[in-house]
Formats: sequence, structure tokens, C-alpha cells
Amino acid sequence: MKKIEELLDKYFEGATSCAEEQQLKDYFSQEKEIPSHLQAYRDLFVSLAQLSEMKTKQENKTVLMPVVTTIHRHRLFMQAAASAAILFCLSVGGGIYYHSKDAQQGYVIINGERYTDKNLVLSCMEKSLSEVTDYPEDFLFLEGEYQE
Amino acid sequence: MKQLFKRWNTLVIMLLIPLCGWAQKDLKIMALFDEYGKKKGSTMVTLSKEMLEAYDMTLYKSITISENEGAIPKAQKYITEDKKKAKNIKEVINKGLVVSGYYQLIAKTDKGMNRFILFKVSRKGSVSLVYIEGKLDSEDLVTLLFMFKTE
Repeated sequence: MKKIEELLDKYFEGATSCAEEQQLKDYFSQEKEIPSHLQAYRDLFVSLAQLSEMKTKQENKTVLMPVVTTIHRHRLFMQAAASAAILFCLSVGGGIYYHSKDAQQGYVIINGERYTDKNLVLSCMEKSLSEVTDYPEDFLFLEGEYQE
Repeated sequence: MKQLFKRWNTLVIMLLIPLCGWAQKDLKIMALFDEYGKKKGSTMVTLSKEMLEAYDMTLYKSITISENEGAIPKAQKYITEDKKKAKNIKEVINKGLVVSGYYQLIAKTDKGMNRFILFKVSRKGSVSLVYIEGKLDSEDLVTLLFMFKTE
């Protein structure tokens, strides 16, 4: 008990070390039977003990935070990359499917409207071929007679 | 992280490479199909695989554009560019501009394949363009043209 009183005197003189201050905090927060003349200091040291405990927890948190953030960012990037890859594959696959479907089906687009009726497609093809040439025989020269 | 970016970029490049050679992008006229194919006053035809086989073709695309004055100079400009790839040419030129043209292009890779462009601007102001790719030669094409002319 005498030691605690001495430590208290030293504390109020500002001459205690960290270990001694910790000793005081431990005593007032752990000891159940504190003499009445020392009761007045109990609240002070219990509060100080709680405060230093909170500070330690906060310090631990700040150390952990960057690690968590980096992992989180990495996961987010991986998720975004995976989503982008899936979207890309879907759009490419869709494009290939659309083109292969067109190649299999054949179609004519008239005034922006798409038709796949075989007879209509063929009649439009015939019409387009008859439109580009008035004299098909003109084309016969192409086998090298008048080469550029 | 840098390594991950490198891997990701490589993957994207690898996925994009096959797409470059996919379409008939070596010809300027293809832009005409893309630009005017779905517009009002246009008729665009693409044949099915089954129809193509019947005519010994691997690709047939045609477009007729009417009611669009801007399409004619654009088509003429594209034809002027694409005819540089032609080995045989016959043209009707009016006031310095191509109004009718028949072009047999140099084959791309397969020696047995032929490529043709048929082009015409009508008196009514519409423009017609046909692109054909396949094993048919010019004689086959003429037969085809006669066939549709007489029918």
C-alpha cells in the first residue's frame, strides 16, 4: 500500500515512468478493496487505463486497414476483370452467332425492314443483278482480253 | 498487380486478333453496306449458304440505294479506291465520273477464288452495287446475268 502511495506522489510530481504509471492503472482497475483515502484516485486511473486500451485498439486497426483494403481492391479488380471478360465473350459470341445465322439464312433488308423469305431474297438478288448491267455480254472481255 | 494487367492485356489482344480478319474489310465498298444497308430507300441482299452453293459463290452482297444523293459520290469514291485491287476493269465514265463499272479483283489468298464488283448509277439517280466472291469465273457470271435478264 505504501508503494502505491509513493507512486501516487511521484505521479503527481510528474516523475513516474511508463511502467510505474501502468502499475497504478493496473492497481486501480484490478484491485477490489481500495482504501477509502485512495478511492478518489480510482476513477482517474480506471479512465486512463480505458483510454490507453482504446488507443491500442485503434493503433491495431490502422495497421490492419491497409492490408484489408489491398485485398479488397484486388478482389474488386478480379471481379471487374471477370465481368469484363464474360461480357466480351458474350458480345463476341453473340456477334459470331448473329453472323453465322445470317450466313445460313440469307436475308434482304428493304427500307430498314429485314426479310428472310427465300423467294423474296432470290427475287431481290435477280433484280439487283439486272440493275447493275444492261448488256451482260460486255462482261465477256474480262478473261484477259482488255487487262489493265 | 502489374503482372495481372500484363496478362489481362495479352488476353484482350489475343481475343481481338481473330476479329481483324473476320469481315471483308479490305474493300472500301463494304462501308456502303454498313452505312446505307438499313436506311430508307435501300435494298440490301445477302444470300444464304445454301443459295450461294447453287451459284458456286461463297459470298453475295448487293445494295440498291435510291432517294439518297449523298450515296452516289460516296460509292464512286469507294469504287475508285477498290479498283486499284482489280485485275480486269470495264467502266463507263460520264463527265469524269464512273457511272457503270465491272471489276474483277485480284484473289485474296485462295487461287481458285474470284471476286467481282458490279456497279451502276441509274438515270433515275439510284446506285446499285453487287459484290460477289466465289469459284465462279466471269463466264459463269455472264451466264447468271443473262439468265436473270431473259427471265
